[in-house]
Amino acid sequence: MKKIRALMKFDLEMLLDNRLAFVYAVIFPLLFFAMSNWKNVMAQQTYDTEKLIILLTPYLSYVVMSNTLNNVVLMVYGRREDGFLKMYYFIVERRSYLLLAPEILYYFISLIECLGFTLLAMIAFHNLSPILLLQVLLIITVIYFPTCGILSLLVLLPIKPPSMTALSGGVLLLAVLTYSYTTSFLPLRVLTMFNPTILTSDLISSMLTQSVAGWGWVLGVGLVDCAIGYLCMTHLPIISKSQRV
Amino acid sequence: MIKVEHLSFTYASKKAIYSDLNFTTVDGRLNCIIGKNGVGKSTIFDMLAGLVKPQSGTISPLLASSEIIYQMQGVPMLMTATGQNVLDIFRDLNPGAQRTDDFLTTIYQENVVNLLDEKFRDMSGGERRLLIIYAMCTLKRSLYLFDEPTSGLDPVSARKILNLLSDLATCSQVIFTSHNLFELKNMPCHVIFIANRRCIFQGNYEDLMQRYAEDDPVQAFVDALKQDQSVS
Repeated sequence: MKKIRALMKFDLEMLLDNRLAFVYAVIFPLLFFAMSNWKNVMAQQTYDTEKLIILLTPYLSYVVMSNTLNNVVLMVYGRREDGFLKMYYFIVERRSYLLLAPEILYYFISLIECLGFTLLAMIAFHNLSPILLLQVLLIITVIYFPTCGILSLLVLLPIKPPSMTALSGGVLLLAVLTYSYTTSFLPLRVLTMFNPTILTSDLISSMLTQSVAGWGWVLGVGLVDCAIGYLCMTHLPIISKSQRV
Repeated sequence: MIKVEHLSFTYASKKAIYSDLNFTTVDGRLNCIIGKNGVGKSTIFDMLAGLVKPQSGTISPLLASSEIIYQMQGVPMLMTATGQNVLDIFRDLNPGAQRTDDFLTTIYQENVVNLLDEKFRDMSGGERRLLIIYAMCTLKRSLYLFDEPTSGLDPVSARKILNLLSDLATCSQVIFTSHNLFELKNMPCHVIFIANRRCIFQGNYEDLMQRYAEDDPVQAFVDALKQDQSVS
C-alpha cells in the first residue's frame, strides 16, 4: 500500500505541476452544459432532483471516461512507449501498481470534478439537494472502476502512439454519442452495458426506478469490467509493444 | 556472474539482433556492454531483466524483478521537486532495505548534499543524472542495469558516475552500456564488445587496446568494427 501511495503522490505532484490538466476533463462538459441549458437557467427554472440527475448523466459519464482515458490509460501507455514503465516496474516490483495508482488517484479527482459540476448545476437550477450529491458520489463510485477496467484493454494493444490517440478519441466519441442507446433484446442490452456511458445511464435509471433487476445487471457487468481491468493490470506490458516488434 | 550462452534474438519485424551471442560478466568489477548505436544493447538488458525472452540460448542466472534495478537514460521526474524530494520519492517507492555502504555516504556528502535544496529543473544534466543514479544505488539489489548512464555528460560528470558505479560493483553485479570506449580508460572494468549480432571481444580495457594495437580508444573502436566486418 505504501508503494501505491507513493506512486499516487508522484502522479498528483505531476498533475499539480501542470494545473490546467486538472480542468481539461471538466471544462468542455461545463461549457456544453452551459450552452445547452442557458435558456432554462436564464428563465430561473427550478429542477427537481430526479430531473437534475437525468440531465447530468452524460456529463458525469464524460468526465469519468475522459479522466480514465486521458489521464490513466493514455498516461500509462505513454510511459510504456517512452520506456519509463520498466524503470518504475523494477523499483516498485509490481506491474499492477503502475496502473492501479493512477486509477485510484483519478477516482478522487473524478469525484471532486463531478461533485463540483453537480454543485454548479444545483445552483443554476435552484435545487441545493444533499441527496443529489450523495447520489453522484454513489454513481461515480459504482461506475469509475468498471470504466477503468474495460478501458484498460487499450493498454494491451500493440499500436503506435498516433493510432492510440485516434483510437481513444474515437472510443470517447462513440461512447458519448451512444449513451442513450437502448434495446429490449436482452443479450444485446447486456452487451451495450460494456459501454461505460450506457452503464452509467442504466445505473441512474435503476436508481430512479428502484429496480433490483436493473441494479443486478449493472453490478454484474461492473464486476466483469473490474475482472477485465484486474487481468489487464496483472498482464500490463512493461516494454513498448509498438517499437521494433 | 551472469552467463549468456548461444543466445539468438530476432524481432517480429525479422530484424536479427543476435545470433549465437556468448559472454560472461564478472563479479567485483564494472561490466560494460559496448557497441555502436542499434547493436541491441538495450535489448540485451531487457533479456537480462527477464522482460524479453530470447528465441534460443540461455541466461543464467535469470534474476527475479525484485533483485534488479534498471535505469533508463532519461528519467521522468517532477521538475519542481528538490533533490531531497527526489530521494524521498525513491525511498517511498521502495521502502525496503536501503544500502548504507561507505562509498554511498561519501558520494552523498561530496555531491548530493549540495543538491538537496536545489530544484530538479535548476540542476545540470550531470547533476540530475548523478542524483537519480545515487538514489537508485541506495536501493538494495543483486543486479543493477544502467542504460548509457554517461550519455551526453561532460567528462567530469561522467567520471563521477562511473566511479560511483565502480564502487557499487564491489558489492553487487553492475552492468552498463556505453558507446564511448575512452571513458573506460583507467576504470576497473570488464568490457563486452558487441558487433555484428555477437560478442567480438570480452576482457579488460588494456587487453582490448592491446588486441587492436591502439592507444586511441576511438580508433580501437573503429578498428574492432572494421576487423570484425572483414572476418564475417
